[in-house]
Amino acid sequence: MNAQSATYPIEYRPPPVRREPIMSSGVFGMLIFIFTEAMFFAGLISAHSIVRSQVAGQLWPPYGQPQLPVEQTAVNSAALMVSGVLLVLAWFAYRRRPSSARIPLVLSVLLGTAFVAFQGFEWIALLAEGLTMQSSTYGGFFYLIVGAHAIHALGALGGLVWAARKLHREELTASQLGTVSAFWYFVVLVWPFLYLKVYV
Amino acid sequence: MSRGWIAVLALFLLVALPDAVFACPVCFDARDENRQAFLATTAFLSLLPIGLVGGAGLWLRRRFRAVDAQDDEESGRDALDPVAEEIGR
Repeated sequence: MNAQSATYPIEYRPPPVRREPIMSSGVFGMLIFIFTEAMFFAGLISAHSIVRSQVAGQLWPPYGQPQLPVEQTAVNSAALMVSGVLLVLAWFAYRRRPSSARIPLVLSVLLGTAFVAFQGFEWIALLAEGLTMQSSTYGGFFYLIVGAHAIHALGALGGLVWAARKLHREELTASQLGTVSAFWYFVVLVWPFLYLKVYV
Repeated sequence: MSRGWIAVLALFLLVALPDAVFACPVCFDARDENRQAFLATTAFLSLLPIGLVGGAGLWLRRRFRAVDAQDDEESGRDALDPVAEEIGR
């Protein structure tokens, strides 16, 4: 018997067991997006810090520019934080029984909407007081940083509304809820840094 | 020019030039607040991506280990089952 025609017994190997993924593809993709957005906001915060440190006499806000509503925005920020907590509760409720996530999810969307709406009213009042993008670097940075956050908040709210509608139709998967929730958590968690930097 | 003189000239350039050349043309200022802001933001922007990627890496490592431990536990339980049946008999 030569080597070429030799036969070898094939050891039986059970088919590989498909492991449950560590995280869903949607959440993973969202995390990569969130990393890039975190660097975007870090760049804005850094630029704000440099410009503020260059102001002569550390006069901030500059002469003739209105003070930002620190206290009212603090209350509004608390609403945003509660919205994030409600979304965490919605996640745990979903894991127990999907339909039980409906109320915390809707409440989270409502509080998030209230946050964005309050920011809109605040902008209208500040524009009326003369704070615009062109009025000073103070105004420019305020509208750039807070506006960028508001755009993210609107996008994340759109995702949450979509998730709430899918949940209502009993079509929402855990991966989908995790993906839109991750974006909202980012919006919630980045806000305190922006608030402390821009308002205080 | 001898090697010794080249070495002396290189040493002179190494010692003298960095004093006159800034790596970043804007990262200096007479005011202390501005200098500190540049230093703080440089550190912040350098450490943030490392922290994000490192944190994600550590979290994934922990999750993989947890899943591996769970798999080992399940396979160990499967292997023990026939023995348990034998004892039961």
